Amino acid sequence: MNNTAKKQSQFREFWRIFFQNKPAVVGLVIVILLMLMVVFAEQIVPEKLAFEQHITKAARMQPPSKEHIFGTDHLGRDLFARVIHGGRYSLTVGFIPTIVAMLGGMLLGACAAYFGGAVENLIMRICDVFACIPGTLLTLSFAAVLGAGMDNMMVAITITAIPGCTRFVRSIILNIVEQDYMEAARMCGSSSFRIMTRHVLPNAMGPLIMSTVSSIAGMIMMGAGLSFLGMGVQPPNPEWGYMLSESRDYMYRAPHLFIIPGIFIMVSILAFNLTGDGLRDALDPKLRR
Amino acid sequence: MKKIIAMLLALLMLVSLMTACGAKKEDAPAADAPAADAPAEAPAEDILDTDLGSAPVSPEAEDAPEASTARTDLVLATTVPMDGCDPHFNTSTANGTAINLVYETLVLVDQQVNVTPLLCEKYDILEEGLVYEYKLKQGVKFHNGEEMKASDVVYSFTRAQQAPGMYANVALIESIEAVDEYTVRIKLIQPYAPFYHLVGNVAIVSEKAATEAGDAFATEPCGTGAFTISEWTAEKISFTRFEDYHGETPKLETITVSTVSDAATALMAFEAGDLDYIGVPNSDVERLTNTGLYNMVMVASNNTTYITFNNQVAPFDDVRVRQAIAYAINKEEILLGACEGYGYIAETIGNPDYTLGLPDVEDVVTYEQNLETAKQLLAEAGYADGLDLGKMMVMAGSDEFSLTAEIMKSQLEAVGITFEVQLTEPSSFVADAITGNYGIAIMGITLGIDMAEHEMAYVTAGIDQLNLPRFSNERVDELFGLAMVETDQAKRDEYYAEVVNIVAEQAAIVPLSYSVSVIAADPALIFDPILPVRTWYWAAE
Repeated sequence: MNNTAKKQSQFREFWRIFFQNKPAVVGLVIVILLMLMVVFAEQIVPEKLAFEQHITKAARMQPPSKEHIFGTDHLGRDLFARVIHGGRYSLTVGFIPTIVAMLGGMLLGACAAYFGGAVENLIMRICDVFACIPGTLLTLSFAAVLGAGMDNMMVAITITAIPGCTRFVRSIILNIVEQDYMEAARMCGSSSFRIMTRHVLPNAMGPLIMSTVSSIAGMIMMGAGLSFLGMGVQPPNPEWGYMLSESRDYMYRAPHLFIIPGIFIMVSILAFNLTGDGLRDALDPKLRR
Repeated sequence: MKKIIAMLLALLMLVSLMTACGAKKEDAPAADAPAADAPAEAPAEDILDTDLGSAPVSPEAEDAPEASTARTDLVLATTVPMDGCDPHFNTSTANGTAINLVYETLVLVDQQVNVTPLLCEKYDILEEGLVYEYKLKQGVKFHNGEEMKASDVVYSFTRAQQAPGMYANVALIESIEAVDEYTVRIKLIQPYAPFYHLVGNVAIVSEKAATEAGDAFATEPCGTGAFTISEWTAEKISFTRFEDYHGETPKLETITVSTVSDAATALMAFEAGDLDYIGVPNSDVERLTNTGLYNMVMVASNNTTYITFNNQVAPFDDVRVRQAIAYAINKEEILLGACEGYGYIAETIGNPDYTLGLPDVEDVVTYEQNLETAKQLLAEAGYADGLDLGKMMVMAGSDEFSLTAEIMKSQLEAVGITFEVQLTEPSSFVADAITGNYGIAIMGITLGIDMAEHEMAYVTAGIDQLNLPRFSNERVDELFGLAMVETDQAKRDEYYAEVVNIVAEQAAIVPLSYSVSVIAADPALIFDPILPVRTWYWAAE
């Protein structure tokens, strides 16, 4: 009973600190709005508008107007519909690889930290090899080998992200293992499994969530970058990075074609970063005074 | 096998530098005698209209100003670096600029296939088209100071016969001999009407220089052209006027072609004043025109963007499927969406204006967009519930081709046809297209300026070579045979018109557009893109 109360107060304390952090709150609000936008995309604007071409001189590259809030693109498609529905691709690329990479990293990192010895050596040396290659280059190589396409791109991003996650998880767990309460748990004769699930993971959860949220921003960026290069989401699907790429040629004539998706990419990355920073600050005990 | 490799090489050269709407024509102009790889380098460009920008200037429009203040240098750019200057064993279209400045041919052929003597005084066609006799111009100097003699011409043609890229021009030569110092006689295996202008594709090289240089001849060229190469580095090639040139002395003294690998960077360099002449990407034409700072010229070409089907594989072996696709497509939309409208609707491969023997667009079977007919044809073919075409092969590296695919996707979806775009690198694209390893593809091609040169693109014997649709029709084969030996052009026109209409009725391919490239130049530069660069000059300031 006492324990539950303690937990609740900790939770409340966490949110109290989080909500004092204005930028973090703004970030969280934007993140929530983006998610709502993606979930209710079809209700906001029908998807078919994002693909319907109107190739006439008058209909192409219209500036923003009442009928087309964001104007139309080079094939006369409604840019608002494309941006809204494009969010689905961008956020999917942000979330799924992050979560999968985090799970993979947790498994490998926990194994490395807990078992140590040869297992740790093997896992960490492989990670070191991966760490030697610049991330973007590695992702590009994987994407090139797997072939263009949304699914392949997500696989490529995930593979590239796993080594980093593994190192991160391992460092956190190594830290926890040295704590006194771990000693106590061991002295009480708890099993490895129990120690893992009851003591290590719950204590590692905070930093992990924080890092997950922050890396979503990086993943969105990577996805947009790959799509820009033609390795990711394939036309005519309206991914934001690809929209930037296809509007390149019309930069001078219709700047809204790349400014609008550009703003969406920027804002969503900023929002995830701010939220991530806020979570980190709220989790940091040194800031809890 | 050797022949296939030869064809592959030739075709690779043909297609590698072509894009749907000539966007890659930023490369320096290939305007001189077509010395390089025959069909692709044909001077298939013409001024269409010059009302794009500031007042048009043409060489004929005003008298050449004798001014000491006029510039005498010209700076061009190429997106692909030039790697050699061998007119026969050439492997890159980019080298055309250098080849055309350094080398000349016996005759000069213009876009209307008018032939004027260049290195010869006159020529005669003897023995009912079997023998061609050329009287050479006397006193023509090679860059090494030697005079051009009949032996050099014989050597040049013999050398060309060993070059895969020259195959189409010299294939029918039985023998070539020097009658005297200034007379050359070429005997053909059989009468071949187009030979009189195909001669214009074979550059004359100095026998002495070529044999002395051996393999190094590509980098130590020696021709009769108005310019010689004075400096050759990875960044640029400089040409200097050849003072002993046999023709009219060019007003330009130096021509520099710098390598700027990125088209956008080249355009920036042009706008900064570092370049005098550039091919403008379609999407930038309007903006550049609006500045009013440049002389904008539109140049039409023989380059055709088209959809090709592999006529031998399902579902494209069914004429109804091919016709349905032809009916489902809206060419105007593709032209506007993918090329900003810079181009012309095509009904044939090769622009009738620049191809001898091609019937005008009005005389060709055409397919106006008609979704109902398309659906009906699909239903008859058994695809009433929709048809998945699988992969559509699109040449990578050109926005025009991928935009065409994107627009087509939307147009075909309206009749229930779907496909997946597969961007393919140019080299593997060409290999797959030749061997028939594809179903449907979007590409661009420039064939020769005479329908006779298009033969391999249509006849059964051309399968595994230039006949990319792998189209086979007995009547077409027969017609090309008839046209080959026919010397009456009106009769040949009739045969070719029948060929084109059979191909169109069968919808073996779907031509989309003839490309147009837009050139921006310094307003003081007086030039004509169809005339050789050596004739360009600067107005006095």
